Amino acid sequence: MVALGACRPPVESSAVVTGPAAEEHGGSVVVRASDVPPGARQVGVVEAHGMTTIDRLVPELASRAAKLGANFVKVDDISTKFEILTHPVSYQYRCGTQSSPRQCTGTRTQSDEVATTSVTGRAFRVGAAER
Amino acid sequence: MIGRVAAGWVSILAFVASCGTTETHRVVTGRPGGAYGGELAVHMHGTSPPPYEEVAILQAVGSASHADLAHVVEGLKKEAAALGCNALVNVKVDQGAGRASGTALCARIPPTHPLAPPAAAPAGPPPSPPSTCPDRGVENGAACATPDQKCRTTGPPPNCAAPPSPPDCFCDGRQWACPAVSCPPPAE
Repeated sequence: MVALGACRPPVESSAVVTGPAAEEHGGSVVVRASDVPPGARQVGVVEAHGMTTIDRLVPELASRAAKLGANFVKVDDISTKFEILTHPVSYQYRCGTQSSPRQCTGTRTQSDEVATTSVTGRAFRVGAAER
Repeated sequence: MIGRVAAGWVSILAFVASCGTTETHRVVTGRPGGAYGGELAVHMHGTSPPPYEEVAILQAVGSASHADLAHVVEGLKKEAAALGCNALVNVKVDQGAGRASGTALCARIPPTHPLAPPAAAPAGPPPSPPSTCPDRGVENGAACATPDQKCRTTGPPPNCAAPPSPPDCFCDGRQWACPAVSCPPPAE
């Protein structure tokens, strides 16, 4: 349980370039969910997902957008899907006799509901980053 | 003995019945304000909200007995109020078997908008009484510190004979907000 708590679930992301090729943007990326500033040029669509929450996924989305040369991300959708995952769990128990105690190992299956959240958006170049 | 066992089961059932958590997460995308103490407006995904200022993206995850719409929206509301928002916009809830996840935009709707929630009860010290500022010109977005202060010094629209009412600018506690106004009806 401690090991599970200490292990951060991985975050994965992907992108599709839809505009002209550009160098990676090294500065900050502005994130909005409501509107796109006038004059913004779309450079791609981006997505990040994982068994985690938005506070890890949105920064990953911004990072992925920066690799496309974007300095602005419009978050278009956030959705969470749930599924039941069954996996084997090993356990140990005492066996043998009182005079000859032994430790035995057994395996049982355990079902857990896991949530995968996905954030999708569009990457733009705005203002000074316009080339 | 039976009584003790029964009491134990009642305790366990009571614990199970109340066993649930709601955790919230935020990504600040705008300018948070002081805590909001009024009723929040809730605009679900797919509906058209009134004009608003974006403050943050929120997520609430409910587990066990909190894995439902009510607890998730309540979690979103608490997080939004803490950031000074008076509305949740684009609220969407995904439901699982034992968990539920909701997302929303934490937003500020100008208090003068007809669809804005009822005025907030002040969470902190009581605001100064409303006053006018006849000698000050103000600009939309300029800093101000007196909540509910009103100003007409930007003058009536060019085609208006009289100043509009409500006033064309008000202080929301942090900055001047100057929504679009229309001329008052001409006097009979």
